[in-house]
Amino acid sequence: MKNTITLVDGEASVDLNDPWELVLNQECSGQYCVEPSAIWLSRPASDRGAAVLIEQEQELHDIQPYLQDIRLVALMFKDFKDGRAYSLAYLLRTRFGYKGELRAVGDVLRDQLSLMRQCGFTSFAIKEGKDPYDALKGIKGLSVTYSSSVSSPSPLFRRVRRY
Amino acid sequence: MYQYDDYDRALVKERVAQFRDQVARYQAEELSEEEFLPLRLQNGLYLQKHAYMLRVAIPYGVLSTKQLRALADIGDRYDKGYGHFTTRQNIQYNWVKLSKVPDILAYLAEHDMHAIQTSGNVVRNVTTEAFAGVAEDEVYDPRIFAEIIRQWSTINPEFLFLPRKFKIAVSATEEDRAAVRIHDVGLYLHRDESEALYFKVMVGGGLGRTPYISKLLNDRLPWCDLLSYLEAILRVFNRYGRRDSKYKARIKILVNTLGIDAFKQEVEQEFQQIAKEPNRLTDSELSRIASQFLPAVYQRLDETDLGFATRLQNNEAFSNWYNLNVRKHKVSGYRSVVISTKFPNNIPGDVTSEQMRGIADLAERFGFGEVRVTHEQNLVLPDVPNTALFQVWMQLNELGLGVSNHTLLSDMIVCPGASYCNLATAHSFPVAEQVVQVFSLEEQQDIGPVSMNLSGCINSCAHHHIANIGMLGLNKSQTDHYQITLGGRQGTQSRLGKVLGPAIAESELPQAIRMLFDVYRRHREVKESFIQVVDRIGLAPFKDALYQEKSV
Repeated sequence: MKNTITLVDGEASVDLNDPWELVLNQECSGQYCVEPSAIWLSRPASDRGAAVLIEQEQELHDIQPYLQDIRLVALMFKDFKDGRAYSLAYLLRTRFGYKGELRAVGDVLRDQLSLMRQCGFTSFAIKEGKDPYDALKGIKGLSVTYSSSVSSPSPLFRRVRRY
Repeated sequence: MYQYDDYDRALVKERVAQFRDQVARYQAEELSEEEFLPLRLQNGLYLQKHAYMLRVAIPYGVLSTKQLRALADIGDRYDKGYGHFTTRQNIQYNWVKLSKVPDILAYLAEHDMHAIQTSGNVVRNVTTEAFAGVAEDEVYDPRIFAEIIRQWSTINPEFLFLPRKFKIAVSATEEDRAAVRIHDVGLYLHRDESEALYFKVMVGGGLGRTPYISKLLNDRLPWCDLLSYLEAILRVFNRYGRRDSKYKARIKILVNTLGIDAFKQEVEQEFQQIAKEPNRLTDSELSRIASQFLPAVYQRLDETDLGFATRLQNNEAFSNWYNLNVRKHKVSGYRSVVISTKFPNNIPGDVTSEQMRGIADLAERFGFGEVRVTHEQNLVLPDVPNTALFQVWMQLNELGLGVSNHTLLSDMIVCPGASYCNLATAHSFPVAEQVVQVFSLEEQQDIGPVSMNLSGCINSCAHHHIANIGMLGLNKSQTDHYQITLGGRQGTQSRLGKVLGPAIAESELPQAIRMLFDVYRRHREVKESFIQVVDRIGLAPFKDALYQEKSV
């Protein structure tokens, strides 16, 4: 995927040579295919790649048993105004213990990146036509967050001493 | 009131800088209209008919006088010298310029205020009743939980792109003066046998084109697990709420499609799986938040005062005002004053900058520098010694705010209507004024307590469904018509009003309303209120009076 921002140890950088490719309808070849989870699940175990794509309306039960073997889960934002993938990210990280790369794909824009990061995303395929270097500025977000989140599992009142 | 600490302050300041940058990028066409829209909405900025409208958050309706003066300044500097207080206890300015909005927000931040999440598909300003903390009948101060929810919901990253807006209200009294049951989530605070606090959680209330009164979701939620429980509700809503139609996206539709039992099961299942420890509220967090509210230091006053009692006896106008606009207080010798923003002197909810400053003066001189906003769009001075009431009343009269009509028919909730709003079909303010003008204040007092609300369109911003008499503006064959509903009420026993019959032409509306009150006066028994008569005799006599002539 072109124009990808990756977080490594909390540091964000633009990766112009990201190898992963979204493969929606055609046959997958090579080891860097990200294909819809339904197609992925329909393959015999030996034919499955290392990455799946999950749509915002999907349930996670089917894929759950395989999460430990998956290197990359891509969550699709069909429209940046549809926030379902934030909850899916939370569930993958907090409830299902997914430790691999979690990538936002689709309508992925600068002004939502910090929210995605806080919900457990670790890489961001910036929408085509948008400058990934500009988008980089959206990773940090505000320095104060009140609520708990995947990236800071305690709410502010337990994280710091407030007077 | 709640005092910001360094964290609160840093958050609002950084948010201003973030939005300033977003506005600049929008103006430089780096952000498209579509990309900018939710960003500006989440910062309280709408685009109305003639200009941008900025809605500033007043968390649970509590303002310091410093903040009220800042709001007055904004009215002068960036609007036309006034602001409009809303049913979510917020204030909105109707004539702001986009390029000035970052400066307005910066000015607000200097006064520990913001416009975050006053719009958009997010958790909105948490509301409670205007008498929180001073009401004699509350089990606990609901502002403390409202503030906890405010913090938890502010820029909570998982819940900023919900299917639709999400409104939460808290009440800690049996009566419920916060319209809790028309909220997406309503929280009733109670104490159990051992005095421990718990919540009764209601879900799925909301007005608009498909109005619902909320249903019971949990009859005993321990207070300490409030945040995890809200998280469970919002996660279920975020994942399963409809997104294909704006009008079917509120949680009330999900609740009623699934049925409350199935919805409850979904929430329970989610709640069971949340690790509750991290978000469990502690006694120390509760007392920390409570201490941030800096409790007022009350004097020891007698419940009655000779001078005050004499005034009451000798001055009928003052005594009328006292009976209607002054409320009991939990502390002996103190009262809460309701300042009417309504007709005939004012446009409902509209307060001029000069009036705001005058109210701030009063709150500083006679109160503890605090003012409240009610969800009925009035303002409140929560802590006035009874010895000062006469002076307060005189001053309010000078400001044009001394009208004795709290709870009377002219104490209407009215939306801004088509004069400002893109959505409205009817011009609400002038119509409401015409209706009210038909009744002298004496007549209104004779009719007694009644709630009468007027919405300019089906979005129902003026809560007409839960008014004793509701009026809804419809556009019918070139002229505005009004549908009348009867029998609605707020409170723990909330009910939606029923449609009386075909909509009435605007010009006939004042007389139609008069007919309804004539029926009431014919049927009432001693001390029976309007709504009690409606309950006893039903809708038929009102319908007959209104439509008989036409059917003959």
